[in-house]
Amino acid sequence: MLFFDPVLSVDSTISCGSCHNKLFAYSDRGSSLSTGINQQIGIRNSPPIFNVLWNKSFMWDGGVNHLEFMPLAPIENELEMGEKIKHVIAKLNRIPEYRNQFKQAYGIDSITDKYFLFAMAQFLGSLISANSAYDSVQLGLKPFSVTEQSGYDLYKQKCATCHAEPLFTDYSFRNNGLANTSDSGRMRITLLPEDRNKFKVPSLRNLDYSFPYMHDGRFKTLPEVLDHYSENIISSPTLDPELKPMYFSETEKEQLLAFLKTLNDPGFAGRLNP
Amino acid sequence: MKTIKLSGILALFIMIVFTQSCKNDDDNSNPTPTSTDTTTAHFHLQFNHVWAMAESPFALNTELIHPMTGDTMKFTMLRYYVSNIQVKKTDGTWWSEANSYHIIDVSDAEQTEIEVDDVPEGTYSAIRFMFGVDSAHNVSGAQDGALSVSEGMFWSWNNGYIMMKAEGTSNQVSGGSFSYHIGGFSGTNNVVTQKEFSLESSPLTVKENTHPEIVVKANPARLFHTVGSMTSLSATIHMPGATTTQMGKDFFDAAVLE
Repeated sequence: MLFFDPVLSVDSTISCGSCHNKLFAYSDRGSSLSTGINQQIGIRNSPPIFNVLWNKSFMWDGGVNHLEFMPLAPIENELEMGEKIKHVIAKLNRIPEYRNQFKQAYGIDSITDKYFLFAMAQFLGSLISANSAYDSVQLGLKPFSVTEQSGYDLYKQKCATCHAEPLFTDYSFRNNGLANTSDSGRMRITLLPEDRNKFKVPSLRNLDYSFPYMHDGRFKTLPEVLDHYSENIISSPTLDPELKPMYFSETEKEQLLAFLKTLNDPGFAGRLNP
Repeated sequence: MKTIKLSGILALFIMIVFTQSCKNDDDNSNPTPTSTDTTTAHFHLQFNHVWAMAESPFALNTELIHPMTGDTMKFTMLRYYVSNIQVKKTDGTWWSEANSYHIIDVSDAEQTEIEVDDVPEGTYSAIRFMFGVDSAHNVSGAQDGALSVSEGMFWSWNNGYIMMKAEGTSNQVSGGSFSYHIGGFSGTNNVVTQKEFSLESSPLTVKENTHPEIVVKANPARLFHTVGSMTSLSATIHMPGATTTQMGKDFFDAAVLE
């Protein structure tokens, strides 16, 4: 309810759900960058939201260190919701329905920032995606097709170092060799030159719903992403040492795409009964 | 298997969160009683602010000249965290204040003094506390009291408490106003500073119906002791980094007992 309520933004125009839409695995409906209050454009791609209980940090640059602090970042970002948490709490306290709900949930007479953040964390934590075809295979309920199996084997050789099973990320920050990246990434937080252009490794689950890809949404399709890792990696001082051009054949690309499709969870994205 | 494992971990997490929430409710409605066989009382920890070596009075909205850099400035805000207050008993062990997080705010005389309650009666030979918020509480999620994010002393995009805010106006900076938000709790940008003062020459005696006071003298001119004139600084610094770490450390380190 809070997640979908624009009251969280300064002019009541933007909710969390504006840029994190369920049908797109809680990402922004195919936008590279998202639009906040006053038609302002944010600086990075809205990531999908799922399985966040396992995250070690949040945001592309890891600037948020705890799930309970996560909602503060977009609420207080001037390009996104442009609010102050103190004012959000004052507004929520003027809405009897919220006061009742917080009273029922936490036994408190007036809403405080701590309980608001607890409630948001409860909701975000409940967004679990674990019903993909891949999960069914792991549960022994069905096998991969031959092509999917080949793609899985290839994934394990070429991708699993960073996109580790079963969540398909190791939560590290790495420079994956994108061209023309002005965004300093993780360095914005740590100020360490060795962190320049490093971003958090995203999960490979639900890729069909969370397009476009990369921190700035530069790649619209998965074949473009595979082309990047195949032959377009740009060398730089902070390029990840594990990353080498992979020179996938066309057949290998098809196998990988088939495997990646098994990581989609249509039930999670509300796509089972269109 | 994976699904079962994920759901199991989720269930555990929810249980932990609920347990935590319930515990916090209890804390709010029934403050933890202190041990019944010890009489407790309080003391005051007062922060006085002076300006420069001459130790002239420091006040907000008053023109001040920095003796070293010659900069003229008016402060409009000076707020900082003091945490983890402890006093040393005669047996050498330390008594620690529970939930010991406070904001000192020069704009409000009442907020330059901390009343430390529930202290067992007795004599104490030293005091220690931190300027800033210890690293653990920078990574512990939503909290209340002085650590509430509504205090405006928390960075939402680069998580961590703003240990100190110093804002004001000066002709020495472009745009005419300065805003230094000082923080950082890890690595080279750790500005959190523990202070310990011996009270042996005049021990603190905590006793019912008395109001003993320990006065710490802090000197905002020290902010510029190493970094020098504001003309060579950005007018606005709102993140951890070498400059603000130096400013914070110079200010915190120079605090003395009055």
